[in-house]
Amino acid sequence: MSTATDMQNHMQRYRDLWRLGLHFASLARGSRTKLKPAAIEPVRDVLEPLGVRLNVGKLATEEGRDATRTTISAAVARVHGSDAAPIFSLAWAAADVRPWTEVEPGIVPDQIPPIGRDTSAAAQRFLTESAGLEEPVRSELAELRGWCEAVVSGWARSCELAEFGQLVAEVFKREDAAEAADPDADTPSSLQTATPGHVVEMIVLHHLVCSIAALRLGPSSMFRGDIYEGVHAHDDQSESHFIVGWNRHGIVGFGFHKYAAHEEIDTPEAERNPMRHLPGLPSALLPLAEQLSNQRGRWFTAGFYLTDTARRIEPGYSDDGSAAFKAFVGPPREALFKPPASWAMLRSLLREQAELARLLAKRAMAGGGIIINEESDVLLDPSWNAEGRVSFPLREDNLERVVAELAKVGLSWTVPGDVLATDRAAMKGAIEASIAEAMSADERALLDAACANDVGTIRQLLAKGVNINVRSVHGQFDGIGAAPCMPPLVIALCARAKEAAIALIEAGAELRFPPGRPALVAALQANDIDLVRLLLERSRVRAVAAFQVFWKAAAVADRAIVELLLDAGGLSKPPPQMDQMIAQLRQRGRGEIADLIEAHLAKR
Amino acid sequence: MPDAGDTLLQSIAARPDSAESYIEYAALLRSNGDPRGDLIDVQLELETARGARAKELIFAEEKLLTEHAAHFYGPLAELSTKHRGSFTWRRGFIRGLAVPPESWGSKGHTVPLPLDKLGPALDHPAMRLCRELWSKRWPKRLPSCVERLHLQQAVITERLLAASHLRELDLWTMVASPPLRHERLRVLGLQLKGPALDALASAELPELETLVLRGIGSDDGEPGHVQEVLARLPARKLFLGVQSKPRDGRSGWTDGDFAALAPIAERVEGLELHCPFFSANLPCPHLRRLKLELHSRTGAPVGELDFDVLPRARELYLHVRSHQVNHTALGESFVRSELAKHVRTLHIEASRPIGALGKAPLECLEELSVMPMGSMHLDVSHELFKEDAFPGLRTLTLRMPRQLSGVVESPVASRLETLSLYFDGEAGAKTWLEARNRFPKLRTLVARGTRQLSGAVRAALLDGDHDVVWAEHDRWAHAHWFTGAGDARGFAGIV
Repeated sequence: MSTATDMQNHMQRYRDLWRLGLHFASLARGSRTKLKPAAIEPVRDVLEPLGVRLNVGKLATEEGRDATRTTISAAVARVHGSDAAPIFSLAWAAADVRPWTEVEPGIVPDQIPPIGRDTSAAAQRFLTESAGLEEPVRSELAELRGWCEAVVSGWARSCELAEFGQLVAEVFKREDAAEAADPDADTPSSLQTATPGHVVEMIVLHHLVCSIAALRLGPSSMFRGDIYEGVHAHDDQSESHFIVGWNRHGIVGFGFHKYAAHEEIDTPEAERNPMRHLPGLPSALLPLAEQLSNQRGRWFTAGFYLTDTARRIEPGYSDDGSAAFKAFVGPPREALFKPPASWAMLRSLLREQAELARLLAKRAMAGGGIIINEESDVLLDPSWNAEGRVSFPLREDNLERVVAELAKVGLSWTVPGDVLATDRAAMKGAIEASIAEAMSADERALLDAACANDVGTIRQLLAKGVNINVRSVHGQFDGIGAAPCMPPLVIALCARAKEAAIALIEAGAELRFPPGRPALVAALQANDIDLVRLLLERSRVRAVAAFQVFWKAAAVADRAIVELLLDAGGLSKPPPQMDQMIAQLRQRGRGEIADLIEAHLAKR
Repeated sequence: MPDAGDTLLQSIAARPDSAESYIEYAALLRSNGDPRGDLIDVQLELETARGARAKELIFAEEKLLTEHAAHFYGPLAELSTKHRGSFTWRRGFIRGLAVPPESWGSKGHTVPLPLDKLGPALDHPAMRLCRELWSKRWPKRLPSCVERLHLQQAVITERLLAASHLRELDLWTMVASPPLRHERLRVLGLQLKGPALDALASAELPELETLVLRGIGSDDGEPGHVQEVLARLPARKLFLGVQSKPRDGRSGWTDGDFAALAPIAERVEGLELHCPFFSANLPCPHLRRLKLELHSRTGAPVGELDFDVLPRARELYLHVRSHQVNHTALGESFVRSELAKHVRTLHIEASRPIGALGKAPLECLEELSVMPMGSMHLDVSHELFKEDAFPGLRTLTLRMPRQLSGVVESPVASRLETLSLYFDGEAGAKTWLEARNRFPKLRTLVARGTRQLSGAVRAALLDGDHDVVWAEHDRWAHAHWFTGAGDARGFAGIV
């Protein structure tokens, strides 16, 4: 009779195959995953004992993937037995359906892409291969077989596969968990149990996360003082922020959130009363609280304090800004990685960088130290960011500042001398790799021709049947200010390549207007009335209902273009704060446009 | 060889309603120093105790469960602090468990409790006699005594169908299933989507008494085919939910669609209509419960709904889900109808007062429940009871005690015999205690949601001459209403 131990042994045997399947599927899907190129190595390590050599280049095509998969499946069956092959297929099927909270924190079901053909084919393979499985494995995998049936029949929607994903992950979790066992595991912490020392360490951790992010994204926080007495503030640039201070008496913080039910923005500054968010505040902390509140306009929506004997987070609504403090009293791993608002995700840190921040925070609390070369490599990792795309280039102007920020908590970092050149080269290499993976040579040539206003080459390539709507990759046209994932038409518009843009429009380029509107926005940026008019005509849209498009024109375009969009209905739904927006226009020196808009509104 | 404890547990499992084996088992546990023995005694006595003794027992029960939480709840101890209301205790064991989520995500999504937490929890001694389990997911194995299983989304497996004690299975979304074969399953609830119809077509359920089938006409299964499948099932009671999702470019159902179900109409006891259409082609002579889901996708102005085309039922559930529905016109149409004149139980869930309701007399109405939707604070009691339009009303269910304000000023208060309220904290209990004397004929207070309350608050609710029935959370009660399980008044049927 089968036992739990039998099952565990089976699962242990399948563990490597499972991981192989996941990694392999991730590799084969390229840019849809967040796997780093370094992940090829573990796959190769697992394949070696199977006698299979992995040719990564073959994974670029469907045929190549199928051939490679068949080779691996055959090797798996030969070496591990026929009952092991289905696990490899299952892992392949599951690679797309891991819990979506894990894959992309904060994503909502509607945004999950539909089930891909690869997933469906893998599910079918799993069903075929697992049909002959015997007990106890058969029963253990029965539920997963059911899910695969639903995938194959098209009954399961992709958003429901979160459950499937969670299930497959859990079936194999035991071994994964053992492998990931962390000797320095987080101890649970909460408002009831957190010590002032823990909270200061969390503040330092947050400061380090912000500092690492500042290398590429720019500064977003302030840190003054040291681990014994200081102030840390963070502003997410979307009307939410917090400020927290600490000294020998304890810790005090104030938070603000734009969606809070109770805020004092409309109250005159003298009448604002931030202390109402700190009921029972120990008197020793009052001077610190006063100092903090005065630094940030006194209009807060949440408060927090902690001493050895008193603790409180007020008031406790969901959207009041108190979430920042809840993270400070919780375990570091939760703050760093728990969706939907994990620090690592919000600041686009790689997992390795976030883990390093945690290590450095511990080091800082123990008196500080130097950052060694290997850690420096992680801090400067240029290849991918958390979303799996090519990262932003290092910001030269920020390097010195980050070094100083780290020094505030006792961490000494010597930035490698050639780091900027290395980063530029690495960025270029990563972009080239992304391009090679995402498009053919002709498609790339079409995008380049659009950027260079080379109408002859454009027509030649289109005559060959090259996809007129091929999308650029992240970083490919940063130089002309084009956003990633844009078609040749938008690239041409961003590059002010008028003839190329007209040629592409006439050849039937997708205008995406509505709902995306990037072409029109790019034409506004180019400030060319002929292109704007052509786009409006060709897109067969009689009215520009989106205020954002009109406002872009008001901010950058000539009067004639603004008038054109006014006629097209761009101001049919003015927002309530129109007066303030017009005042801002005047401040930016666009008084003529402001007059035009006011006259138009008055006429209505 | 089984020890004495195992033998007694088997005896309890075989006759769960008999107290003798429990008493013997409690004595055995006490002699071993196991506090579960004391808990069995306290909860047994609490079943019949009244007055001061009942209060003492409530405090004793709370003390035991708090002081020995790790022992009683095992791996679920952490969850029990946040989700005390998810556990139903009976005679020292968890009788029912609504598995709480691991966490709440955005947009209503919940992350289910992972299997490595759920599995050990189900193996804990406190779960040995668990008879009812609500879970978002199928936990891969069941406590041996589970009789009622409610799952949100699951793959049905042979292992699940092998659960010999299972009597009731309710599943919102069936992902996949082998042919449904079970010797003793009596109640089955399914949504007619995906593989559900195929699973029913090949089902072998000789003991099936009640079948709840939701979503007929939504995606899968023409009514004629559904009828053919249902005709060969032995269920004597059918509760059918009819969707109004457009099919073939049409909205709602045609006379022909309803006629296709006619061969099974004799067995229909409950109908849930998601469209304001009905047809005389589906006569339902034994219809007891009619539920109307009124929302803006019905394809017709809902306010103009003609209730007289609907089949007669003694119990009516109006679920008005949209602000686009004209509540005033709806109410006027209803009170004028023949249906209203015969309805004995009326359950309303709406976000606004239902127009004329409470202004025209409903002579037959014996039980009324009013659940404001959207806002827990909406109080329609003044509009409803001002005119004394319900002379026969004896049972009233409200969301919260604070919604009693219009009732206490109405003559209806002096006639009520059963009152059902959801208590969310001390404030609710205080409101009730202040209003209690206005209900001189009250015999039963159905106190919903009270397992989350402290012992002091629960004890306070015992004051008075009436009985107190500790009932489930609203969410549970609503779900049971349609399946036929909520027979007792004021949603007390599943205590």
